[in-house]
Amino acid sequence: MRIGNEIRTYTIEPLEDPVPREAQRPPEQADEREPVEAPLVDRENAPSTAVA
Amino acid sequence: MTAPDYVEPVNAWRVWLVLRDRGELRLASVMYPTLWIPGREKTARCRVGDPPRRGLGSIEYHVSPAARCGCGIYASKTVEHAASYFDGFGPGDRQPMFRVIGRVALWGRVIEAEHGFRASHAYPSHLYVPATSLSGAPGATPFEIAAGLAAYRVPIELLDGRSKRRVTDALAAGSGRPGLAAA
Repeated sequence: MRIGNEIRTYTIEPLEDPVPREAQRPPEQADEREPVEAPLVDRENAPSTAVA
Repeated sequence: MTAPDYVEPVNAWRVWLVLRDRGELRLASVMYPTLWIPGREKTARCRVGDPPRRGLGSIEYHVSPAARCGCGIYASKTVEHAASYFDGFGPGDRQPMFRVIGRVALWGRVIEAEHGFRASHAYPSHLYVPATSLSGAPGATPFEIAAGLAAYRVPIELLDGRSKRRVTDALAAGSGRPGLAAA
């Protein structure tokens, strides 16, 4: 994804969890076969270190 | 300990693939074979072990997203910008059933750019299901898609639009710019 020139960096610590409480599952119910997470990269201008 | 700059997540736009994974419908990233698991925040991790590409050379381990890297969870400031991801695929081998567009909450470490963001943490906050798949491979009805994505426990709306243009126009007309609340 091409998002243009970077403007600034900041930190966000939400006061409320953005993940809906009713959707959260205890660890024993977590999907253990979840694939390795990989950050998105620009489809045509992929950086050397790809992530989700 | 450093105080955060903001206390509410950024709400930006993304397109997701919808895949069937072991009988359940799941959101997946367009460009990478990455599932978004219901009830679990998505966290970015830079794949420093990947072979260097494009002559960028080696990059040491770093927390994602990093300014000098392209890693992180991407999202757009506008629905029009995100809608470009109604097309295209990444290297994943699973055929998507559908594509949906929606808002995604971003938090943690966030890098803001002209047209979007890269973040360390994300979770969908609102999903919109178009009237057709828009990806050329319809595998379910919009109603089935909406019902299948209920596990994410976020608002899900069906859209009348049967073309990318109609979908983006409808959403752009009713959407605001992503906002932030100061700490």
